[in-house]
Amino acid sequence: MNADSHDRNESIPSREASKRFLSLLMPIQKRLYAYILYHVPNRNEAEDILQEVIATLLTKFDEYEEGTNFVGWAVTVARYTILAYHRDNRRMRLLFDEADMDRFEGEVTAKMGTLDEEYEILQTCLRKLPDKYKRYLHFRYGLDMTYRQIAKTYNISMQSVYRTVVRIQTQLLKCIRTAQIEGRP
Amino acid sequence: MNHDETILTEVANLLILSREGSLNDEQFESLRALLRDNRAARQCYYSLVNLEVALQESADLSESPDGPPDELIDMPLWNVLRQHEQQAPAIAIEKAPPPAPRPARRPDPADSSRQINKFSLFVAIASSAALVFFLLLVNLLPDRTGVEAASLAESVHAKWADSSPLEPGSRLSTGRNFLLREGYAKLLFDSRAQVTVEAPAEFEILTDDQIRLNYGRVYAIVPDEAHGFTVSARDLKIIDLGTEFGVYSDLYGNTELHVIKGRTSLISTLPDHTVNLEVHAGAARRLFNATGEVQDIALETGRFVRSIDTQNRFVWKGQAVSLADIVGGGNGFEGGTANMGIDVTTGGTRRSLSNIDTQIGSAGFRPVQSSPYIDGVFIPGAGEGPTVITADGSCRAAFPETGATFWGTIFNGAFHEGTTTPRHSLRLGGEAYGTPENPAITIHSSQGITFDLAAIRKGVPGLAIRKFRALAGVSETVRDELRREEGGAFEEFPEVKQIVDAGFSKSEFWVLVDGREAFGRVLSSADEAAEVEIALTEQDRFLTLAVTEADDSQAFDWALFGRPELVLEATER
Repeated sequence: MNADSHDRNESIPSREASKRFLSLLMPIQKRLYAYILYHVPNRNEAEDILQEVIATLLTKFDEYEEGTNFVGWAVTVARYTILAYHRDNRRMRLLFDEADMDRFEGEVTAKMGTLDEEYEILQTCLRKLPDKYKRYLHFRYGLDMTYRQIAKTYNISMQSVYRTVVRIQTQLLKCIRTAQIEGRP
Repeated sequence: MNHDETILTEVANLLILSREGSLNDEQFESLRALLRDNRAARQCYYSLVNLEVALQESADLSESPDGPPDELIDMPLWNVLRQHEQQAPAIAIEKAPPPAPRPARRPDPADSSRQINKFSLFVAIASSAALVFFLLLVNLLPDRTGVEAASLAESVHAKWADSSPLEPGSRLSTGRNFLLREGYAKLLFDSRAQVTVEAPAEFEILTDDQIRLNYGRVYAIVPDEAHGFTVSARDLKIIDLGTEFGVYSDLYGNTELHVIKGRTSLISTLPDHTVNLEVHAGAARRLFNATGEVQDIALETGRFVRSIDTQNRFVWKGQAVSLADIVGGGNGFEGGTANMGIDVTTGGTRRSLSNIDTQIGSAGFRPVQSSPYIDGVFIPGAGEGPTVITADGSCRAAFPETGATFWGTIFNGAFHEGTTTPRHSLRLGGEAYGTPENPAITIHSSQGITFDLAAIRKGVPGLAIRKFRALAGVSETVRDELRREEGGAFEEFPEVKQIVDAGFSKSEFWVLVDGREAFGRVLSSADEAAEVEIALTEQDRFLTLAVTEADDSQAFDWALFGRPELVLEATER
């Protein structure tokens, strides 16, 4: 499977195929994005890679064999796309080199697999957060503000924002972990 | 904190920095090594990434814990529109041409200004068919209902949270929240009140003369016909009584009011803490949401953006135009070079000022090409008859005869250095000038400079020049130098000896507007500096500053205009 964007076949799928593609992509898009973010620390680059991967999957959808592992195929395309980006631009930072990507493939696959469950549990955990923390998350994830903008709005230092964010993350992860162990949200 | 929590905190901190583009090379390598060698750290990292992805997808977070839901992500509506699209007539889709080769990407790790839009995952599903499908949905989204009550008059670097970007000229309706994520926006209410908003800020237009500020910073300029214009914040109303004022509201609901002109009425309706008081120009108050307490605070005149101009991307926070900065080659706000000056014999710029002897120049106005804001320079009292002080020859002034002698240049700064005088800062009222806090134009006699007010006005769109002000004087350091010179070489020159014996030197200061004398005074180094304040109108074209020797020698005329500036005021549009 060649995910090189320079050689990408620009065939446009039919409307039916597009709808079929969407129905396969939508359930796995979170996992696909997470896979990219595991390896690419810069959010803008990760987003660009995600768009490139989805575009590649769509234009090569006629090569996908119905009934086979769609997410596996998507992750393979993502891996090649990440490595191609890094090859084209050595300044791009990757957290794992190709050898480590192989070494940790099992861990990554397992962790991707728990994402949907964690997402469901998270919705309950969010409701337990104090309003102040919910407000932080609303500005960060609901309104797409950067931490710098949040600091300016609250009129506090960046360090204060970071400390609060880490506290929120720790509380949510504990809540999710507890729910997973106890088997309830 | 146990070991697991320590690792989680360390990984979380590094991850935050990397997402913000703030991770330096050393930190990045540290994170890589930690993840490569430590399984627990990897598990923490994967968990944090999963959490990040899950939070981005969480619909609950589109709703503020304080406010109404975001109607843009309305699944039932989405489904209706999807049905509509299915029934819509087919659209011919042309095959897209082959793309140009992708250029090598050079990502800027420090660029974290791009945001992941909630729709980006959908837009990324980029086939012609899917894109048209998506565009149909967006175009079919109904306009938010409400009454149009204001317009977006100007914007600079503005980014809005709304999916449809707002451009100057857009009409704004009541009944919805506007979130300005970046930049500045000026709103013109139908009542004629102007409100400038600085991001990040969230507000709602309530009526044509009321705005509610959920959080952020706004500045209101309210003309007579819009008296009563109201800014509401949580449990607080600020009613204009003929004013200009700034309001800042933070996310906790604490609100500050700074009144620059006129007066306002501040009303708080917190339970058990009703407040109703007038706040006048020059005063500021802070209301604490938790307690209802109203506190006097210092007025901050430079805290709010008062005017913006889309075309010139000009943002004004009330600051004056610094003529010293202009002499230094700047635009009046920034960019001027310290100690850069203009040669009155050529109109050219010079940076070297030390060890220059007295020179004799000639009559004639020299235009200054290096700055659009300076009409030119001249030697007052040189030649016969009135001195031409503008390039077009329209203005002349009758200065006393000076023999066309002068020293140095007209420069942005305040120091003197001569063959026997060590370099030192000039001082007025015990303060050194030629500093960022005390900028100055030094004009040793006999020299003059004319500023083009019309050109300066073009550089500050939406603003009027209301007055010129400065502190004029001869540096008090002359006294120390004269004491040093007692019995020295200068005593051979009678006119200089006269100055040495007197213990002070004198210069005559001139400020002219279109050739008319607005200020003229002889000041000595022993006098207190004089405050100069001259009102200016829209019709005034040229402002001239000049210094001539005053009945004594041209020596030791270390004259300066301290903090010379043009005071601006926002005009109605």
